[in-house]
Amino acid sequence: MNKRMTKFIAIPLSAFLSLGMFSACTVLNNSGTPAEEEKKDDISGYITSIEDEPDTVDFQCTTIHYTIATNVFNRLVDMEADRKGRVKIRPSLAESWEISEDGRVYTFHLRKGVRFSNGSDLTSSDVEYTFTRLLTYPGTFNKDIAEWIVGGVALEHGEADRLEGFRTISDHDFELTLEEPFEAFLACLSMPGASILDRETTEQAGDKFGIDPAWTIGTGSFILTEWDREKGMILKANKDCWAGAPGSEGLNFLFMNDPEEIRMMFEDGSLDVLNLDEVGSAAEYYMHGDIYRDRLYEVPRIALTYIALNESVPELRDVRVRKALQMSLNRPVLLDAVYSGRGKVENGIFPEGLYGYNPDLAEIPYDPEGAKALLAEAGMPDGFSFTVYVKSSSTQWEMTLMRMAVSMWEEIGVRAEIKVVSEDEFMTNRKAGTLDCYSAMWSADFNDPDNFIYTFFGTKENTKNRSLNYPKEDIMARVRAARGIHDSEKRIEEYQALEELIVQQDAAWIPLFSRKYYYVTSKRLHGFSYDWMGSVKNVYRRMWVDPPADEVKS
Amino acid sequence: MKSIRAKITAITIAAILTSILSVFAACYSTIVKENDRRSAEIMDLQLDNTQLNLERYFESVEKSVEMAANIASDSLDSVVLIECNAAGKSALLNERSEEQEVMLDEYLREYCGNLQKSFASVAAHTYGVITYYYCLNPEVSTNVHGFFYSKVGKTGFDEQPPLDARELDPNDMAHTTWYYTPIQRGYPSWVGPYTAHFLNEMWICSYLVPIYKSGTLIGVLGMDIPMDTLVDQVSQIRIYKSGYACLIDPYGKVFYHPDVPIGTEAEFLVDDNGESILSEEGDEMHQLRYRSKGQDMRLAYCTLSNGLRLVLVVPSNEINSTWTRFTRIILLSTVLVIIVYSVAVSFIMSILTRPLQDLTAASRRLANGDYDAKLDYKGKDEVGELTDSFAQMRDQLKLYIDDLNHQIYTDALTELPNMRRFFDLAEAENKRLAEEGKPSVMLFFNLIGMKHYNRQFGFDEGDRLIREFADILRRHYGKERLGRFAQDHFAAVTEEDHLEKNLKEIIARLRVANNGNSLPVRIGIYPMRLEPVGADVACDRAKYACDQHRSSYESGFYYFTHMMLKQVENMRYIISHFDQALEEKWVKVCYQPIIRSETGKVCDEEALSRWIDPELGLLSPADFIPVLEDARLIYKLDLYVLDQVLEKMKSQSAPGYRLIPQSVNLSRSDFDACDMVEEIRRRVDEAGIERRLISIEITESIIGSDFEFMKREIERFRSLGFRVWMDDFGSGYSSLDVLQSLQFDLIKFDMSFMRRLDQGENSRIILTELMKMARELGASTLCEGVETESQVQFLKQIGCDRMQGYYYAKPNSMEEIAELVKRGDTIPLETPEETRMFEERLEHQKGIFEKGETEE
Repeated sequence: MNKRMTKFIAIPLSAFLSLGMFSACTVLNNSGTPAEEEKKDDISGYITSIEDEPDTVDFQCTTIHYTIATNVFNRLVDMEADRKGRVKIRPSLAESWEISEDGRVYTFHLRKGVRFSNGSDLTSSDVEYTFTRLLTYPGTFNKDIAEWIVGGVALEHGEADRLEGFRTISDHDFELTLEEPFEAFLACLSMPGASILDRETTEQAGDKFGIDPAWTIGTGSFILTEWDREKGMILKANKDCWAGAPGSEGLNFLFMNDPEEIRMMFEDGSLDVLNLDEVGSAAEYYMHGDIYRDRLYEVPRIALTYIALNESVPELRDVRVRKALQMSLNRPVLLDAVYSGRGKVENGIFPEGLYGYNPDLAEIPYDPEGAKALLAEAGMPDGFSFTVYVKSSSTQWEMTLMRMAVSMWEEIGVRAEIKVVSEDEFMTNRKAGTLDCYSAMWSADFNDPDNFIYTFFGTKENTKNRSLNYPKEDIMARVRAARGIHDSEKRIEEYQALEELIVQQDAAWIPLFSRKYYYVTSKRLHGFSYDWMGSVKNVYRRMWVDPPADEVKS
Repeated sequence: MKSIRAKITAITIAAILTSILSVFAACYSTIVKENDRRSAEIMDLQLDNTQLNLERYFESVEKSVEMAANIASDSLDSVVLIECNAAGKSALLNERSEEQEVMLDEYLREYCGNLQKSFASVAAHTYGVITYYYCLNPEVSTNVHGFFYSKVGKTGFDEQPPLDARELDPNDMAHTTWYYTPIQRGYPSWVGPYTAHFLNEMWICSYLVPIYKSGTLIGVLGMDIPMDTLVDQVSQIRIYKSGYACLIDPYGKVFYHPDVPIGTEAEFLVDDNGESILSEEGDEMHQLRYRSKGQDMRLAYCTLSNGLRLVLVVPSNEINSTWTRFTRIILLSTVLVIIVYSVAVSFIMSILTRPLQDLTAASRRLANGDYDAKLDYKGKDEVGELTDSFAQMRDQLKLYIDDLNHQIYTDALTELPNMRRFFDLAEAENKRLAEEGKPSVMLFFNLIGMKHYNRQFGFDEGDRLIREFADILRRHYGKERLGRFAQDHFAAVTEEDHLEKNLKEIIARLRVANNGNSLPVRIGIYPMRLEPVGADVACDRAKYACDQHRSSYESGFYYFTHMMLKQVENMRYIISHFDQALEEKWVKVCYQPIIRSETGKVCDEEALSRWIDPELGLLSPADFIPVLEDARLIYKLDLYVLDQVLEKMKSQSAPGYRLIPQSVNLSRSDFDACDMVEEIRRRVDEAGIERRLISIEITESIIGSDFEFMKREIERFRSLGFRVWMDDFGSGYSSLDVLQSLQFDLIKFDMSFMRRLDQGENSRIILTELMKMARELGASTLCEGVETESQVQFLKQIGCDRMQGYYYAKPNSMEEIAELVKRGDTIPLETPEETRMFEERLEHQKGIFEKGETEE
C-alpha cells in the first residue's frame, strides 16, 4: 500500500483512537477512589473501653492506675483464686521457684527467651533493678513489697547501695532472702506494683518512664503505642509476647467521664466493654428489661465499702459511741437505696471471695434504740456533732450513701455535717489522719487478708494514713506477726480473730457491704473474662472483637 | 473485483468499529460502574439527609425527655422512698403504713409538681412534640399518678387528667404500648407508631424513659410526636423520576407509602423469590438490588432510632437511563463517524487510485494496439513512477511495433510495400477510385529473364536493376499504390485513364535503366470493370494475363480477357472435377500406334488420355494436362493411365493376343509426389508384365529443370529394364548436353519438326543431322505428328526408325480399337520375331558407333 496513503489513514485513525482512549481514561479517573487518605494504624479491630486518665502509668508510683501495668508488663508470678477464696500462685516470668525450709529464701528461675517489646532479653538483672528502683526511686508506692527483702529498708533509707537480699545466680536464676518469713510474699509479687522493668530502657528513660509510651517498655501482651493526653491511649497487641499473642489486635482506651456521653458511645457500638459504674444512674436502664440481658455480666467484686471512723476525734474514742454509730445504720436499706440492693452486707474486714473470708461472723445488728442507749451510756444522750467528708469527685451514689447514713445517725441524735472537699484536700487530710469520717471502698490488690488488714491496721502509720488512728499497738503487732505464720490454717484463724476483735469488739470501722461489678459488652466482643477480683482490666488479652463489617464485606 | 478503494474503506471502517467498540466497552463498564456508584451515592445522600433530618428531630425529643428523666431520677429522694417502703427490696416485703402512705403521696405530689415545671419548660423548647407526661407506677403510689399535658393546636400545652396505669390493659398493646414497652425494655426508647386513645386515635410516636430508683420502677416519662411531621418529610422525597421513600414499621408493615395504605404488608419489598428485602437486623444497607413483580428495583434503607425503617426505592431502569442514553449517543456518533470516514476515505482513495485506473485502461488499450492512451498523472509517488515507466514502455513498444510493421509490410530492397501490405493498400485504393467513379486496373509486372540476369551479372547488379525499376514505378504510381511481390514481380493499382501511355513510358524508361543494362518487362492488366474482385484475385488475374504470354521475350502489356476468364474458370472446373472424372471414367485412355518405318507395322503404342466431360464435352490433353501439372495432380492421371495400360496388357496376355510395348508419359511433378520409379516398378511387376514392354516418356523440359535428379531417375528406370524415351525433343530449349550425358532408348522428335519440314531446306538438314546424331548416340528415333505421304517418304529416306501421327492413326480408345478390329481396318502388329530382330539390329548399330568412336 502506498506509504502516504497509510499515513493519511493512520493519522486520523490514531487520533480518533487516542481520543477514545482519552475519554475512557477520563471516565476511569472520575470513578477512581481517592487514595490520599493516609492510613494510620487501623484500630477498628481493637477492643475499646473507658479508662480514667492516670498521671503516670509508672506502677511503682501509683496505687490506682494499674491497667497499663497488668497489660503491658508481667510479674514474676500470677495469682488465681476461686470464688471460695482459694488461692493459687501460677508461674509467669518466673518459670519455677523454690522456698527454703525457714520460708525466708526464695530461689527463682526465670523463663528463658522472654523479651521486652524492644527486643532485649529478660534477665535477673532486670528483676534486681525493679526492686531497687521500687525502693529508691522518688515517689514510689508499694515499697512494702521490697521492704521484706533483706537490706530493703537500708537501701530505701540510703544506708546501702544495693539490695542485699538479692543474689544473682545466673542470667535467669536469682535468690531473694526475706528479713522474716512472709506467707503472702508470692501473692505480693503478683501485685501490679511488682511488675518487672527493663533495666536498660527504664534507666535511660529516667522520668520519661510511665509518661512517654516509647520508654514504657514491658514484656506483656500489649505495647503502649500512643498516649493522647485527655483523649486516650492505644495499646497494640504484642504478637511476639512470650505468652502468645493476645486475642485482639489491640486496646483502645478512651479517657471519658461524662456518663451521658459514655452511654451514647456504647449505644453506638463504639465501646466494647462498659463498666456500669461509668454511666451513673443510667446503669438502671441496662439492668431492667430484656435488651441487654445477654450482654450484661454480674461479676463478684473483692472490695469492701466501709465507713472510716477517726479515733483521734474525742467522741469517737469511746467504743460505745462507735458501736452506736455501727448499730444505727440500716445497712440493707443503704444498699437498697444506693445500689438497688446489688451487693452483700458485710460484717468484717475480709469480704466474700477474699482468702480468709469468715462466713460465720456475727451480724452487726440494726438497732437504733440500742444505739441510743449506748450513746446515753457514753454520756451523750443528746448526741454529738462531727463532720463527714465527701470528695467532690464522688459519684452521686457515694453522696447518697453518706446522706442516708447521716440521716440514720440523726435518728439517734448524732449530728453529722457533710462536707464536700476537693480530692487533693481529701487525700492530704486523709493521709494526715485528720478526716473525722468518710466512706470509701477498698479493693483487693492481691488475694490475701493481709492486703486488707495490714493496709488499715498493720502499722501506726497505716492507720494514720487512713485517718483511722487506731490506737492498739498490740493488735497491730499481731497483724504484722500473722504475716509470718507458716501454717496457713493458723494464719487464717489469727486473721479471723483479729477481724472479730477490730470490727466486732472495737468497732474501729463500719463495714457496709461488698458490691458487684456490672458490665455490658458490645455485640462484637467475645471471650468476656474477669480476674479473681472481678476486674476485666487485667484480662483483656483473653478477649477479642469481630472484625469491622466493612472488612467482611470487602 | 474488490478495488483497493473498497478494501481500504472496509479496513478503515473495521478499524473505526473496533476502536469504537473497545472504547465503548471500556466506557460502558466504567459508566455502568460509575452510574451504579452515583446512584448509590444519590440514594445514600438522600437517605442520609432524610435520616439526618429525622434523627435530629428525634434526637431533640430524646434529649428533652432524657433531660426530664434525669431530673425525675435525680430529684427523687431514694431515702424518702426507702423510708416509705416505696422502693428497694424492703418495699416488697413490707406493707406501707398509713403514715408512710400519706408521707409518700405528699412527697410524690411535690416531686411531680416540681418535675412538671421543669418538663414544661423543656417541652416548650422542643420542636414538634404534642405531649409530655409522667405516669407513675401504681405500685409506688395508688393516689399519685403523675401528670399529662398535651398540645391542642398551637396554643401551648394544656393539663389533662393524668393517665392512671391501673386502667391500662396489658393485652391492648396497640393502645398501651407506650407504657408497657418501655417497662419491658427497661431502657429509654421509641415506641410506635401507634394510635393513642388519649389523642383521638391520632398516629403518634413516643420517646419513653422508665424511671427507676433503688431498683424499683417509679414510672414512665415521655413525649409524643405526631407521625404527620415525619410523613411530611418523607413524602416530599423524589429520586430520579419515580423513586420514592417510604416508612416501614418494625413489624414489616407499611407506615407510609405514597400508594399503599397504612398497616398493610409491604409486599413491594418482597422479591420474586418471596424473600423480604429488609434484613431482620437493623443495619443500614446501601444499594440492594432485587426484582419484584418483574421489575428490577434498587433500594436503600436505614433504621431510624424509633424503629421505623426509611426505605428508598428506585426502579433500575431509571438509574440506567444515563447509560442507555450514552449507548445511544455512542451508536449515533459511530454511525456518523463511519459515514464521514467512509466518504472521506472513499474520496481520498478515488484520488489515489485514479492513476491506477488510468494505467489499467492504458494497458488494456495497449493490448489492443492503441498507443495513445492518456497517461497524465504527474504525482511524485509510487503510482506516479509507475505511470512514468509505463508511458516509457508504451513509447518504446510503439517504436518496436512500428519498426516491426515496417519490416513486415515493406520490402527491404525497394522500400515498397510488400504483397500483404499492398493488398490492403490496393483494396483501399480500389475503393477510393470506385467512389470517385474512376475505373481502376490492377497491373502485374514481371521482369523477363531475371534469373539469367542474376546469373550473368550477379545479384548486386540484379538488385540495382530492381531498385531502379521500383523507382520508375514509384514515380508513376506513388508508394501507396505499389507493391513488390517477389524477385521480379511488382504490382500496382491505378486508374484506367492514360494507362497505356504510362505503361509505354515505363517500358521506355526501363529500357534505358541501369545504364542500358536492363531487362524487358511483361505487364498483365486486369481492369476491375471486368468483374469487381478482391485485390488478391485481381492481382492473380493480371499475373495470369501476363503468364499467357510467357513465351514472349519482348516488353509488352496484356489485358486479361473474357477468354482468359473462361480459361480460368475451366481450370477451376478441371481441378475440382478431376477426382470425379477419374471415378466416372470421363477420362479415357487412348492408344496411338507407332509404326516401324521399315515394315509399316505397329511396333509400339503410346497411351494418351482424353477427358470426355458430360458438361464441357471433349477436353484435349492440352486443355487439362497443364492445369493438372500446375495443380500438381498430374501424378494421379499418369498412374491412372499406367494402370489402364497394364490392365489392357494383362487382358492381352492371353493366348492369341500379341503384346505390343506400350509407352506412358510422366510429368516433372510426378517425381515430387512419390518415388515414381519404385511406384511404376511395383505396379508393372504386380501386373506380371515384362518391364521392357513399358516405355517411359520424359519430355526434354522436365530434364532441364533438375538435371542431376532426372539423370539418376532415368538411370534407375533403365537399370530396372524399362525403356526410357525422350519426348518432344526440339520443342524447347534443346540442349545437346542432355543427350550427351544421358542414355535414352529412343528420341522422339517434336511434331514442330514436321510442321517446319515444308518451310525450307534448312529444317530438312537440321532434322537429318539430328536424326543421324541420335542414331549415332545409340538411340532409336521417332517422329510424331506425321500426317502426309511426303513426310513419310522423307523420314524413310533419312532413316527415321519409327513414325507416329494421323497419317497412320489417331489415338483410339479400346472400344474404338475393338470397332476397327471388327471392321478389319487395322495396321498389322509386328511379330515378336521382327521386334527382336530390329532390336538386335539396333544393338548392333550401337555397338558399331561406340566402336567407331573408340577407333577415332
